[in-house]
Amino acid sequence: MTGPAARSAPLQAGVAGAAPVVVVSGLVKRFGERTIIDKLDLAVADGTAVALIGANGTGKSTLLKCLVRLVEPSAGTIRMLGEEVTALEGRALARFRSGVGFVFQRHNLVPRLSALTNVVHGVQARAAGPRTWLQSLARGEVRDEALECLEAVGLADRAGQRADSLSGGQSQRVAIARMLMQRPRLVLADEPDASLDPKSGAEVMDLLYRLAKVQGLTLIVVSHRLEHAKDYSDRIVGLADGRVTLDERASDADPAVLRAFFDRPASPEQHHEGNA
Amino acid sequence: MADATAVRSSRASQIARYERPSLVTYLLWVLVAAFIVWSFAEAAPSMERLTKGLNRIFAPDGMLARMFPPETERLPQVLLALLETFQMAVAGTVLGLIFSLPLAILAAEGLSPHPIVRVLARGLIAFFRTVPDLVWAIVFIIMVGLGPAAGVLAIMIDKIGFAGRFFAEAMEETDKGPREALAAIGATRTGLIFSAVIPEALPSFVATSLFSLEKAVRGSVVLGLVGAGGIGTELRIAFDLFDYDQAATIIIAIFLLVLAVERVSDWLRKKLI
Repeated sequence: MTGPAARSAPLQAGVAGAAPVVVVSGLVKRFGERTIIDKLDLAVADGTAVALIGANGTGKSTLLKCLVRLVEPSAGTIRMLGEEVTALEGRALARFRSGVGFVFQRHNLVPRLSALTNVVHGVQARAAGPRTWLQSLARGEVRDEALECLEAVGLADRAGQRADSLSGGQSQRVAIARMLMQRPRLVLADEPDASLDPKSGAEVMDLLYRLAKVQGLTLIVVSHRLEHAKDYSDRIVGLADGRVTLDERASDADPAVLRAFFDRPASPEQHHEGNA
Repeated sequence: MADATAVRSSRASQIARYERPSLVTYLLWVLVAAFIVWSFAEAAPSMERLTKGLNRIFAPDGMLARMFPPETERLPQVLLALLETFQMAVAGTVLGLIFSLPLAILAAEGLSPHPIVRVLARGLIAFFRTVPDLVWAIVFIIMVGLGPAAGVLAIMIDKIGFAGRFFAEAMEETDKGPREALAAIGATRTGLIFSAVIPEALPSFVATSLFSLEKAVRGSVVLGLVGAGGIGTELRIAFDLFDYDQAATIIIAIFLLVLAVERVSDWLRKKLI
């Protein structure tokens, strides 16, 4: 279940000939005098699972946040899911974000609420009002869909359990179920394995990869674990000094080269990124 | 070894045990001390006056002796007035809590729609809190006349000031992660307040609400003394007519009500939080 052999979908699905759903051109992000992302270009084909790797402070998390404008880019253009992201404002930006699933390093569940209610919250990407606040108020079909999402992450039997009584790995899986409730076409995951023990981390990465393949989603995932980047992606993109300096198929990637990426220290001005 | 101790000791002696205050600090201390002495001289009772007063209370024919045994003839009326006091406290607290929640949202950092709105909401809450409930009672007696309605309105305003502040602080202290996660998927401001912020702040809301009720029950007795209804009015009449045995019954009834509310409140707090 957790190793490459257990993957239920072919590695290269969605790569060959698919149209790009993410096109980043000349992206720049500066924090004051410090340049974190420096004229970065990247295109991701529909249905591809991309692992973003690089040492601390090389701009991986900032890049993900720029893609949905949780961090404002300083220059450049981003085109995602047919929308000119950098030109969106207000409601149009909120509508665009609702189609992009974001999995954070921390699960960010509401601790006092049940797993099912936390998953129901995902429907707020496409609906509003009191019936989206609690599972007890939700419409029947929304509750059913939320339960299906929990089933997809293997936690249907924990639906009524409070989020603060779940383990770290289970909580991250509930966060993934909440993301599925959005019905996204594209998923961005910022080190979803970082705060978990090795076994739970691998389970979460495997789950994300399998769900992306089964549901035909495009996945861009940041991971600091070399084996996860290689095992749970189709393509590996390495960042150094705010630019793409490695881009190859995961199956062809040389572990020694990848290791060098993780070991390479970021330039002093980019250490700021961790706080961005 | 002995030498080392001697060296340590001599080094320590070079560090002053007390810092010499600056002239400004010294003058401030003198001013504070002078003000305390002046306050005692102006406001505190003299020893002679205190002795006379204690005699009036504890003498064989003094107030305390005339309080016992408490008079029970008018007990039904006292209990009805007590019920009215409790009803004033409940109605005023519930109204206050209902109005304090939206005001607290407007006053909370990160939830308020605009910094100016936040400053105005905070200012209003501070104003409601700093003006004593007795003053509000007098204002509302002028507005709606003598009786429990004025008391309910006074308690409501006082509770908006009290709960509004604590509700806002409780919401500001909640973990920002869940609301950021919902904001990232395009949830509305109302959605993330009711889905992520309020559920997390709920234990604090419950504690504040129960304290509000306890405070309102105690406060509503005093409000009656200025004519805002309830048992306070009965107590004032009893003292005015020197019916100290009647007053004793009322004081015991108030004590039992406040004690009961505190006990139930403690039990609920443990049960709900």
